[in-house]
Amino acid sequence: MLTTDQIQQNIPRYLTALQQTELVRQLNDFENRSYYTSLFPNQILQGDGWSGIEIIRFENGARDKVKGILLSNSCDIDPANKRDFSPRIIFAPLVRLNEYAKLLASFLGVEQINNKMTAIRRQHVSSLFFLPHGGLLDTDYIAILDDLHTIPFEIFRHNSERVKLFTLSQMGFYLFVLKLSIHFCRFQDGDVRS
Amino acid sequence: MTEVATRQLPTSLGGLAAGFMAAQLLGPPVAAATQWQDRGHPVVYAIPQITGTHGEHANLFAVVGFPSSSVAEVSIVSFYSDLLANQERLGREFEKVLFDNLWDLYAR
Repeated sequence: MLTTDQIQQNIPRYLTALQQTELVRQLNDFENRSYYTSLFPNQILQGDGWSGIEIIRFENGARDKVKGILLSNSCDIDPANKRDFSPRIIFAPLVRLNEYAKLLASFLGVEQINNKMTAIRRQHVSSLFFLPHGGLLDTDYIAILDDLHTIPFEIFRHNSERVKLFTLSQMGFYLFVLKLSIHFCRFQDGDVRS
Repeated sequence: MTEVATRQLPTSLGGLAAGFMAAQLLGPPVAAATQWQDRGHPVVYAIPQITGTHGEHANLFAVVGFPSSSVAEVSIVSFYSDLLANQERLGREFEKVLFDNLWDLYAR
């Protein structure tokens, strides 16, 4: 997880002071703000939502195409950066929150489910990234940060069926990166490694 | 043959790789280095590497003349601290339902 110093060192300085202030305002009110921007409709960027991403089921080798959010760094998957070897693109498949809640209703109580849905929407569940309705998302979704997949970037790039579902806004992107940090980067993991 | 890229990685990775290689290859005395190679370890070749993006903009955040503790910084740190403090696990029962049905739940 990030330290205070690391956050201070990584405030996006390319933003003007006004834009920084706006970012802070939006973060502090993120539940009522749009996660998405209409900018970059065709570029492939970290935090993008795309449909038609090929996925393979480990258990039986089944294949399908799903909606997903890209975790790969934008620079690492920029076709303008020529490479000797093509990268793989990392993504987390998306799940409709209402379908998950409907399934939960067979096993758990209404209040218990509602409390968890509230926590998910507030980005309080560390293994999930909540994606509200918006962009081309027809409803609320979650990305499961414990369920990551990769495919060759060239397969993704040349897939004519893929459609961009959303581009994260400055606020949405910052929120996404903070959640990734919380979930994946815990320096104080308690293990003595030397 | 083992190929190790050492050129044009601008900062952290390139620097670490180069430093590590230098420490391994240049550090030991000649005799020790000879013995090292005689044991059949692969010879290391340096090849050109396309420019990576790691650290390419490492100074992007540091060089602009903003105060070291601007209101924005303090506010984002505060936001992050709150977010962190409120994190919870999804929970065993919720995880079981999710992962037992994951393939079917994927949005197509």
